[in-house]
Parts: sequence; structure tokens; C-alpha cells
Amino acid sequence: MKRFLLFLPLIIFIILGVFLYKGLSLDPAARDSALLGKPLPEFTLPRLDNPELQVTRDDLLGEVFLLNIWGSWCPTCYEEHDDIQRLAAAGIPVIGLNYKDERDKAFTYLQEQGNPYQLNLFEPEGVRALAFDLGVYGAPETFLVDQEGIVRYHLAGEITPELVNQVILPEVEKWQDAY
Amino acid sequence: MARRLLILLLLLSLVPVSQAAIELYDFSSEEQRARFHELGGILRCPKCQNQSIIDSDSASAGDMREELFQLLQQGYSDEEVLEYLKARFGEYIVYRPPVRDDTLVLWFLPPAMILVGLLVLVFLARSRKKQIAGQDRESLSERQLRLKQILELDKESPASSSKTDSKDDS
Repeated sequence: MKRFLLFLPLIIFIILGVFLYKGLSLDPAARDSALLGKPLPEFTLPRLDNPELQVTRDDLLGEVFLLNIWGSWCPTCYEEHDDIQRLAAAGIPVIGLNYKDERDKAFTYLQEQGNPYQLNLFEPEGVRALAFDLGVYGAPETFLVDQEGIVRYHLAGEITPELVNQVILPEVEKWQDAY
Repeated sequence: MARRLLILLLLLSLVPVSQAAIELYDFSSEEQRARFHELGGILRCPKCQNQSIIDSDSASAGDMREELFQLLQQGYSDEEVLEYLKARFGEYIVYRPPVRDDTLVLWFLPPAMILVGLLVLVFLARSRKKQIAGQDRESLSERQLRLKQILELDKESPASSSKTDSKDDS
């Protein structure tokens, strides 16, 4: 018994060590959106390509779609652009939300990178609408919204080919078949 | 010289670390200003893990401050403000986590550890006391006996005394 007590500090140390070591590889940015399972918030935002045209929540609903938050200022958005194009080519509607950007720069981005978006919303600096209500705090972020307008999947960070194949496409199919 | 350096260092430590938020808010009352700073201090910047929205310079923290100000202007209570922001950014946004099944460890492990530490301390103190008391009891009877034995041995053969006075374990 006494022997065992002597080893107790070592045991506690090892357990703590394993615990903390695991913590090192955790991504603090990877946290579930508070919107999962909740309806997409109501909004009214202008189109990127035409400030006169306002888009609301009802305009988007009807089929499963992806909502991608992007900006020409965001390096990771360039990285994931190919994958978004692949998703769009696979027939999945992708709605863009141009976030804290300027119209000119956004146009240049789309011209140079290609435009996979069915439609782009414009939420510049100083406007707190859909992106804020979705708890967006950076770009890129991607949401999957089902036919009923419920947020079903959320990704903060880059879309990778692995994520497309292993998570996003299966999720899209799952919710397309759900109704 | 060293002294001067020390004074300089101490003075430098007085420079405020973060001067992140320099915005003008037209608070409608001193009370509202106080609430803004209190809530801003317990709300965590969504982009940066270790700063409150008051301390952070990031764009999303700026948005949060602006929204917080607007909500206070609209007459939201503290509770309502927190609920409003939690509905968007999740529990993460508040520094104080709720007491829930999955946060029990977080809340109760530290006091439990202190309690265990105190118990160990009490236990150790007691066992030491016992030990000392035990030694005392021995000294009364057994030590006298041992002493007598040693003295008698000493009388018989003075030369071997140093060898025989080793501890006589019982």
C-alpha cells in the first residue's frame, strides 16, 4: 500500500501529461456552430453583382445548398476554390457570401478564379446581417442548408478534397434524400 | 546602473498592455457604459481564444462590440445580451461555462483537488504526531532499559562500548 502511494504522483503526472499532450493537437477553431439544427436566420442582403437587387432567406430555400463565406482578402479561400468548383460541377448549388470585402476586389477574384457560385450575397465591413447571425468570425466558412432551411452541417476553415469526398458529398446526399 | 534599469523596467510595466479598442460609443448613461465594459470583459473574442472582445483588435471582436452596444441601446438586459450572442456564436463566446454534465469536471475538479490535498495534509500531520507520540512512549520505558544495558556493558568491557551502542531494534 505504501509502495503504491509512492507511485501515485508519477501516475497522476502521466495521466495529466497524456491529457495535455492531446490538447496540443486539438484545433480550438474547430467547434460546432450554434446554428446546427436551427433554421437559417432571416436576412435581406444585396447581390454582389447588383446592389439594387435584394435577396432574402425565402429566395434561397427549396433545395439543399451550400453557403460559402469568402472574401478576396482571405488566402484560404483561394486554396479551397478548386474544391468549390468541383462541388458546383457536381450539381450542388453553392451560394456565396462575400464577407468584409470590396465589390471591385471581389469581381477581380471571380474573374481570375472562376465563378462557381449560383449567386453571391454581399455583406461588407460594418454590416452585421446573415454572416453575423450565423456566428461567422472569419473566412472561409461553409454551411449546408437543407430543403426546409435548416442548417445541417458547418465547416470553419478550408474545404479539402478529402472533406468533399468523405464528408460534404455524403452530407449533401443524406439531406437530399431526407425529404 | 542596475537600479536605474530596474526602475525603468518597473515604469515600463505600467504601460497599458492593450489599447485595442479605440472606438467612440455614445453611451446614454454611465450605467450603460459600465455594463458595456462588464459584458465586453466576459465575452470572448470568437477569433482569438484568449482575449475578451474589449481587448481584441480583430474584426469579429469589433463587430461584437458594435452589436453589444446596439443591444444595450435597444434595452436588452445582461441576460438577454448573452443569450442573443450565444445563439449565434455558441457557448464558446462566454468565458464562464455553464454547469452541465459535460462541464462538471471543469467546475468541480479544482475544489475536489484542494479537498484531497487538505485531506492528505491532515493525514500526514496526524501520522507524524502518532509517530512522535510513539517515540515518547518508548523513551520512557524502553530507552531507560536500553540505557541501563549499555551502561552495564560499558562497565564490563569499556573497550567494546563503541560497538555495542548501535541501535537495538525492537
